[in-house]
Amino acid sequence: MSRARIQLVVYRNEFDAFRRTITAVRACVRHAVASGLVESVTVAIGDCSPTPSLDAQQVSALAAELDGVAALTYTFFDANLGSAGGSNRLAAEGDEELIWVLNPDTYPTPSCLSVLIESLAAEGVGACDARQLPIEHPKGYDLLTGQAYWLTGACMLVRRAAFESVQGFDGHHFPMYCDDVDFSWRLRHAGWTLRTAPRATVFHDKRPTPEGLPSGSEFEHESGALARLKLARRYCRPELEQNELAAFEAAPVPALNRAAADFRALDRADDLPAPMPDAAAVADMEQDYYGPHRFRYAL
Amino acid sequence: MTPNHRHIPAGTPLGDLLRLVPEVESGADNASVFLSVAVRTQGTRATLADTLTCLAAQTCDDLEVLLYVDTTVDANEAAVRAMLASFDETFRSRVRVERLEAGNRVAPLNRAIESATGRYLAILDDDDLVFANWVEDFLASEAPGRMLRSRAVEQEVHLTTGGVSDLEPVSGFVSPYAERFDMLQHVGVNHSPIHTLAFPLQQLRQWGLRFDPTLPVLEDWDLLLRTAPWTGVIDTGHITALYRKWGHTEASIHKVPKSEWAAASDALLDRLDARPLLLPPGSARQIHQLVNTYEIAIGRAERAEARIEAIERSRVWRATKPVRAALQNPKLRGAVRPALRLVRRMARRSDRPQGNP
Repeated sequence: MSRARIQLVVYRNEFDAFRRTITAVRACVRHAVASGLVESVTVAIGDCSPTPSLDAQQVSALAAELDGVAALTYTFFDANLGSAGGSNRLAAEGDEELIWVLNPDTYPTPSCLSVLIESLAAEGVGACDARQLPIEHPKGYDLLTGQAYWLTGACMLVRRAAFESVQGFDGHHFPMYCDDVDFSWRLRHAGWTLRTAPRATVFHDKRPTPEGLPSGSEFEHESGALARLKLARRYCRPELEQNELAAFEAAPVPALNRAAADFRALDRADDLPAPMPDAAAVADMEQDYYGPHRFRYAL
Repeated sequence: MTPNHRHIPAGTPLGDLLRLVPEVESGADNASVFLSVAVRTQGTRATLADTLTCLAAQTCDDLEVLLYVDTTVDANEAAVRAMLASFDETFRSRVRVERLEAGNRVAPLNRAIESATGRYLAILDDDDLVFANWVEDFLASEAPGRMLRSRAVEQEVHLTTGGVSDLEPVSGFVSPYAERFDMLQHVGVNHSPIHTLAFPLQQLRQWGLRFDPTLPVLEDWDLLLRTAPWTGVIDTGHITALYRKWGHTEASIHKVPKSEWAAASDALLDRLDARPLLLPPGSARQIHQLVNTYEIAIGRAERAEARIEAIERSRVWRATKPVRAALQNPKLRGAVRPALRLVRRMARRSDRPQGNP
């Protein structure tokens, strides 16, 4: 049996919504403990907000919600480290063998943690992720084995040994978007196998646009585009980098224009990810997405 | 029917309509819970946990869940109860489990109308999913006595076996349902999946409106068509539900013979036709446009039919019958190509306006 660390990085999250996530986590821990899969659990909350999201009373209330099934820690970072940097800091504060990275706007099903732990049990599997509801992520995986090209960071269980073997997320270059793609590819480059465990399910509070498409803010589009260019640099796709940079600059979309300008500024400042020539094989960027997808969200 | 209306004779549309409405007690619905959600399950689907998780994750917890286990297999009921027991007590305490052995998919829904304690009733099947604001969105549009309607997107899903997953989406979202409720449109086609509707419970009870247990399918469409004319429908305008369209043989559309679908459709139209139909304001112009459009279309179809008949009576058409027959035969197709060119020339010539130089 292992010890698990459940990590939630928050940024101005509403207390009630957060409390709901904590109650779901409580049920997951009870399920995993009752199944003999974990012996102890710590819930670690890291706060990237400008001012603390939780006061002492609220922290106590959340600790009380956990009802003794898990310990609770709360760290106000006093800096916006992003989800990647925040996850790294929280991981460094503990030594549990399993790290469950979980978004604060999620509600995992009671068996989610148990199924993820079982999925991670096979030799060489470094990390696994869950199936998201109601908007299922379309990224591909092997339907027979669950072997995945990359994992989403909304609900990902990682072996600490795997996490530390690649020094965790790259919080500097990928603070919030594609940090999970980059982390996944570096894990694979280090020899770890990734798995998607679709029988582990997690509700992720994402909502469709009025047109029925998965929604995304302007900030998400901009950050996602910038991250894609950085991935092209790190995983040695110079032609793709130049083509997409030109396309982003020419597009009548301010978010893409800003992403291209930011990329050029970072290039001039020599602040882009260092290329990893021998890692190119683990990085599939040839399509619009990362790796093959099972279906596409488009009307 | 109030005493003031008793002089309106039976047999007139208005008299008949008023006699359909029993005397109701006035007064507000003081139920403390906003939404009662009836979930019907046979306890065998892996998707039930997903459906319950969607309810547990609602941003508004002003709801109760009535979970009806329709099974004669004790093991299935035990599995449902065990699965529910694994949920956190904050959610579990809002769920009532009841076993129904009626073997009728409608029985749990009518049971819910009787026993729900909410002001509104919504139905979720054990493979339906809703977004986090499903309840919140209904609540924001609550109006006494009115039916509420949100919108759904649709995703095609297939069952899988032998791998790590029980089901796989095979498409993105499509949005085939009308944005706004339109009574006349709904008489033709149901644009409101059951989990996009919230029925006002006080009105269902007072007016004796129930799901029809004789319908093997379409029971939701039937009750919608009987309830909406009396309550009206408020559109929330927001997409808050996901309808899973099952491929292969999982869906009721595959399990129930086509003839039963047609019979159910007939039955619900018969029921509508057995009484005066109350239409919302604006319907007269809509009917006017529909009839005009229909008559224009009929006129075009008749003209097209006459032209086809003329072609079939023509000498060219009759003379080229052997060529057309030969074209159906792959072995003869090459041999008749010269004849085909001749037919095309003749046809072009016959297409030229008559009387021109």
